[in-house]
Amino acid sequence: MLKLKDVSVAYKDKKVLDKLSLTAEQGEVIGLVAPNGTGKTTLFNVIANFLKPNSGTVSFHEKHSYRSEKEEIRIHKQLATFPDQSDLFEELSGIDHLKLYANMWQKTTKHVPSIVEALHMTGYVKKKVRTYSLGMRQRLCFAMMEAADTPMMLMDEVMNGLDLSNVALISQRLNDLKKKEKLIFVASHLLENLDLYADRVLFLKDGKIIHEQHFHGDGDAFIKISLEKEQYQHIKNTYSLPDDYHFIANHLLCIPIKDMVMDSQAEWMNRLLPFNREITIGPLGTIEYYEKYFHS
Amino acid sequence: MFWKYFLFETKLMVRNRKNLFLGALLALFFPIFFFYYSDTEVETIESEKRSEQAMIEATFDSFPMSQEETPEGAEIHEIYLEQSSLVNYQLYYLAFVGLDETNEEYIENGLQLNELRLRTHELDNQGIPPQYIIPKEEVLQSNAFLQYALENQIQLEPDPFVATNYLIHAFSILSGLFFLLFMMISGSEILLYEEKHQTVMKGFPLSFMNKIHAKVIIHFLYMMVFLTAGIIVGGYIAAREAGLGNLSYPVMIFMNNDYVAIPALQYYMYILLAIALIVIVLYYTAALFNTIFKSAYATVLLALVIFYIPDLSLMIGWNTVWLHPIKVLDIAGVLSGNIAVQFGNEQIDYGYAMLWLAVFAIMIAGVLKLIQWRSYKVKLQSVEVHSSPTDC
Repeated sequence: MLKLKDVSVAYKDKKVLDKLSLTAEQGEVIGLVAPNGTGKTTLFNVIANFLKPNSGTVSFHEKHSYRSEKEEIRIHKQLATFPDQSDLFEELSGIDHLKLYANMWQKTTKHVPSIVEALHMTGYVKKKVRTYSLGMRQRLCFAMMEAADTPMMLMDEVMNGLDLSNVALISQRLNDLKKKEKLIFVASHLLENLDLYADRVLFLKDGKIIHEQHFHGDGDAFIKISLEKEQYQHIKNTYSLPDDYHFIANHLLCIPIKDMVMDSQAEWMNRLLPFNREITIGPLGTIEYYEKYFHS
Repeated sequence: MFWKYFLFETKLMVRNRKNLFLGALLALFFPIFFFYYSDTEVETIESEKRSEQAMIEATFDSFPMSQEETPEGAEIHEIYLEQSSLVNYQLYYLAFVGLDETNEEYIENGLQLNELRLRTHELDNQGIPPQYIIPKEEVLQSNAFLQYALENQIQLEPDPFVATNYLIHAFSILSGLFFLLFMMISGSEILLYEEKHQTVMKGFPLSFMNKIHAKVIIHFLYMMVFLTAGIIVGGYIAAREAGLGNLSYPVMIFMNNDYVAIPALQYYMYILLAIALIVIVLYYTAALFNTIFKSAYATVLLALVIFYIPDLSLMIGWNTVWLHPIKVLDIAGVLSGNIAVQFGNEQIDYGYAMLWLAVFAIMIAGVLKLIQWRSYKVKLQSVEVHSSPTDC
């Protein structure tokens, strides 16, 4: 559905995207993870053609690209981008915003009431945006995306300013959208939350996708324990760690158990139990990879 | 989709305090100007004739004796004697016949007077001090006015404050720099306003030109509503205070290298139609400047500078007469013939101005389209977008 090929963007001397290539299909929720200032928003801007790349191409359904305004309109009929809270019209109501997005993409507002209800916005949606809290604004921005109901959605910082119950609500709605075969890109700092609905998470560093984490199928399992540096050195010096182990961000020791026999696994558990720390077993999650790539 | 976008823009426009303030100011201009205008001393027909009488006497006093000895000088002297008599008769007719009905004698005398004045122009006004020469354009205007009044049996209007007269004067004050400034301030953020809400508005599946057309149309309708309201309120107050006047009353306009009289109603239609076209041109101009300079201040300032370039060039003696089409934005000046006189170009009349305004509108819209088209052709460029330095 979406294909980026060798996309590069540079601001003066700084390369923000460096020959980045990517393919995405409908029905996928793709998480995008990177620290601030490392290209997430730039990537979204390139996909939406709000920013022309220095080189590379963006194509949709293998036939449409941003060659002309006609083509751009054709693509934008299929694509909506997550609005920034600060860009909302303070003097208009939430319902005005929802109707705008519904009309612009669907030419009808029939589906708006159900979105308002589902996102628990009934109590405030008719009030002016200037009276909204951060969380209310964020829910409105998400509701606008639902009102647009496009096959492809780019959601930058979708969980900003939301409390736990609203994070859960939006996560549920994202899962519902996935079931409707939408292609959704989500950039979020709530890394654990991404694991709940993303099919894969892309880790962006130095303008490139340095890792792609898939959530389909069985990921390689690890024994995970948080240790002090000295404790880690002690284990490293005392025992022979398997080849593919990780000591992430100088605190999380992850020992792969994929190729270990049961006895070895039990032996490692016995070695780690005396540290009296929480031990978990499972694949590496987004947080672990994030720490590995960005905090090491 | 265009219609839905247009309705949304309407919603924004109605809630835009700056434009509401400007609209109200435009509407209030007409009633406020009436109170100012009605307090000023405006020349009545009688006072005009009395000053003409004094001017003729002064001309006699300063007419050089030596001039009378030349055939031209003698003829001019004779003409001034006749003029003096005709003006005195006009004053007599004003006093004894009045203006309650068509004063044919007054008009016929006026026509003869104008004929004599034109003859003195043919004789190069020899021996007449420049300050006492009535400009040819004024004579021609007066001639056209009197001809029309005679042919249509129009009763001459003694009161300059009646609604029909007042509105004509109000339009002439509004036209030009004042109106341009007003419209440019109102349209100074015509596109930039959307930039402040970029992430909400930018990805719509709607063409750049359609967005601009929608914004220009809504700005246009908004300001025309206030303008119309102002004319109605101003006209109503003037009519209540001084009377409605006569909608068939002749107004002089410059057309086809001549001064012609048209009914006041026709004048209003001409000027309103031209104002509508000027508003459209100015809003497209604002959109173009917004696109290029991304600054509301630059938009207003540049428009003012461009409007004044032809005058400035004339003042410093540069031959930039080709810039005169810019001045068609002062439509009252075009209709009165002032612009044609200022630039020494007899072509500049209402039809010429309307043609240029239409050309400007098409040209500016064309440049906007070209800029948009070019943005898809130019590759390998970085475009600044709305993002904080840490939020790449």
